[in-house]
Amino acid sequence: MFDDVRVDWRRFKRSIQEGRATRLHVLHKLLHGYGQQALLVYRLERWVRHMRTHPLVWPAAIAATPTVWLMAAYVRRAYGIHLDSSATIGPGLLIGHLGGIHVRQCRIGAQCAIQQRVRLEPAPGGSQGPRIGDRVWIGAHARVSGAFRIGDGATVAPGSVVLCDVEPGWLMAGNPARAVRSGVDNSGIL
Amino acid sequence: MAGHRITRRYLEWQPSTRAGRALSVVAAAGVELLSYASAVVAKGQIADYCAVEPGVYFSDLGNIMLGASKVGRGTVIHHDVTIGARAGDHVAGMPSIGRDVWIGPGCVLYGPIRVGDGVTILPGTVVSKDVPDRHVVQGYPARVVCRDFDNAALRRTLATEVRLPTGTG
Repeated sequence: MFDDVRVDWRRFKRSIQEGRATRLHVLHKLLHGYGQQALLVYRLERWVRHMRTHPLVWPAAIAATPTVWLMAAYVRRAYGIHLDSSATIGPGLLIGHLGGIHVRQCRIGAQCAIQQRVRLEPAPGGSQGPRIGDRVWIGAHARVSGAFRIGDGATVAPGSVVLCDVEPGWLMAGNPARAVRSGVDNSGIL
Repeated sequence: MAGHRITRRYLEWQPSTRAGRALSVVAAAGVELLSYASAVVAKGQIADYCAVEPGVYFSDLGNIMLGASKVGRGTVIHHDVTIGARAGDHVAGMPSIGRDVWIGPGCVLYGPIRVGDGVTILPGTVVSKDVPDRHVVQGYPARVVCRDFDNAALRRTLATEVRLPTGTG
């Protein structure tokens, strides 16, 4: 958990450094870093859940559960960012803005980026969500619902509805999403 | 929206005296808290550089991310709308929204585009190209479905269902 949080923090610091990085500027960005706060609460929730099976500290973990649950509920209600603890999120996720983000029962790789109103969840009635690789960029209002596999370095354009497997490096756009280009380098927008 | 107006006023204000500077520190903290509160209440944000003319209506349901360079008067923006720059390309510019535009729920507008006066953008549209005056666009990628449409009645109510005249487009 701590390694993941450290990677998240490094990614966040890198994303806000646009020329000036004074302490006040970082504080300002942290207050409005709704995604970063939500991610921290998600990591805490996962950690406490994991610690409940620990042979020694499980009473403390159970005592901390209501507090963490309240924090998660605040993030969900106030920011509209629902990072469910059933999702497995790799280190270094970047959440662009707030509002309408639903992530549950899916796997997200390392160094991905998602924007506002992104839904990554199982198909209605299903239980298996998408499996997303490393360094994937998912644009605003995009939706991946169902057990699809999204390869490393893929890019999902804003507003797309992905209903098929995505090969590594593809750029997907449209509703339903089609592969527009292959071999796209998304390191500039991540 | 009110939070955005106060923030703009604060950013334009250049204090010269020492008392003014002290006051501006307090005001900065106030503006920070205000923008946080409005983001939490509305689940949306309006960029500081965005010039919103008077008489613009935003839906109460929130979730609006507004990064447009300009929004003209009489425009109606419904909930779940995102207006912003192309990813990683903030230099190219933001969309500029004309007057009397109706933007339905769930729309995305991005890139350095110009949306003309009296345009109607139907719900769920993704626009990344210019839209001429009084046109109606729909779908992803956005297509023009009607060329000369008067959206005055649409803007007066809060309905999100659009009945287009038949035989046009």
